[in-house]
Amino acid sequence: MKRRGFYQLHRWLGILSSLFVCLVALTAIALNRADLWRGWFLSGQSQQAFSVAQALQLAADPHDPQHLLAADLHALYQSHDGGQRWQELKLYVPAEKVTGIAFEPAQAGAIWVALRDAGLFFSDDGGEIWEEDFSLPFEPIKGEAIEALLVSQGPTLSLRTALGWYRKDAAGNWTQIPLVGNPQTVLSLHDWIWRLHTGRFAGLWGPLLYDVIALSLILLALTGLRLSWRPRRKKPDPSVNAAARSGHDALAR
Amino acid sequence: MWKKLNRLGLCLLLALGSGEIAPVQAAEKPEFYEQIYLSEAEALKLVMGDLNLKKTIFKPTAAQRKRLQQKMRRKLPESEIPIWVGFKQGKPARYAFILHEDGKHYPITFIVGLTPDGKVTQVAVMVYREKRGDGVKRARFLNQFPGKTRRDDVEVNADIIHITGSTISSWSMAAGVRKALILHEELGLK
Repeated sequence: MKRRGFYQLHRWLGILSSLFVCLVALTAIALNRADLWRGWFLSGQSQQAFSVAQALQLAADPHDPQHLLAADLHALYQSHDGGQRWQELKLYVPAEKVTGIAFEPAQAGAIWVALRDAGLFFSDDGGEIWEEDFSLPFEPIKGEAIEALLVSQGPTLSLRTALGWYRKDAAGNWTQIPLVGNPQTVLSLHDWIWRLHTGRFAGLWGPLLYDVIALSLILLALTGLRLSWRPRRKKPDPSVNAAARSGHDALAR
Repeated sequence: MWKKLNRLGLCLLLALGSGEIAPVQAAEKPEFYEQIYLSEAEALKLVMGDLNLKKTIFKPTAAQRKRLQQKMRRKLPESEIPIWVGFKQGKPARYAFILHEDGKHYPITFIVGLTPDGKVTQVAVMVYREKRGDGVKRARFLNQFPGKTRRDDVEVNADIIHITGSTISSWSMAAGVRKALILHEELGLK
């Protein structure tokens, strides 16, 4: 009875583990092959109405209090009537994951927008024509994502990333103030876990290798599940065997 | 042994004490790694076939430059842009633009073919200059462009899906195709 209980426990834990393995493997593949499924969610994404309730970033124009900029996870929006109506403000790249919006206090129409994983963009005509600031002393796409943006008089531009606090003066020179408490160990851990999960830590071949391993794990899990549902083979009944043997002996005689 | 430990301690102290303001330079570019997939002649043959070719140079005026920049939502760095016209029985049958768009670190050179009514016929990568991110040369990505016109967004995450691992290059290619469509419209090519 005890043994049977352990068997049942082992079986159900095995089933749950198999499902978990499938989940982990499938999410890793989904992260690595996002281009294969993102198309399903494209339609109408930019057509959605925006309201301040969705804003993750918000900034007011110091030269025009009615002019507001806001951003959600997917796009940048502007309002010229104090936030009553919003319309999408397009950059020439997808304005995804905006982590900072700032108006330059000394120059009307000058806007800075920081995209978490893409970089820093600037417009000096109120958002009609944009250009990227290629002078950044780090590469957001390589993992040092921009987390905050601040523009003050001078103009001085400051960016905070996971690893440091960068400041650009009016002459265009960057200085770095490392964050107190050596935060890179803690903060970059998240990126490392993500890289471990997707195989990105191993360069170009990592995701491909992970895909193969993930598919193998899914196959193992599914075949394991199939085996767990197969009915157990019954032990042969000794009384039936004995009867058959005696019948056989009688015939032989 | 003690010397090694002392040296390690000194390094640790230096690392911990480095919380001062330090000037930093722009991030270093990776190694230049040119991969030529198509020469100019091959690219033109691919897009224009056997049409009779004529090359013209477009030099935008200040007003044209301003309009182009507003439509593109970014600066137009080129002072002149070459345009190839393919003639069939004396009439323009196809246009081709060879464009250079900034990728992650270095420009990507590619060709965009357009019909006289402003529809993309073909896009092909000619030169890629970085070790990573050349996934944009794959047909799976490039096949999204044919048929696009000025009425389309031609934008990643709107009507173009980027290639995983080549995100910035995908953005650049989409922006480049959009630029070709805007140039076609601005020049009134028919």
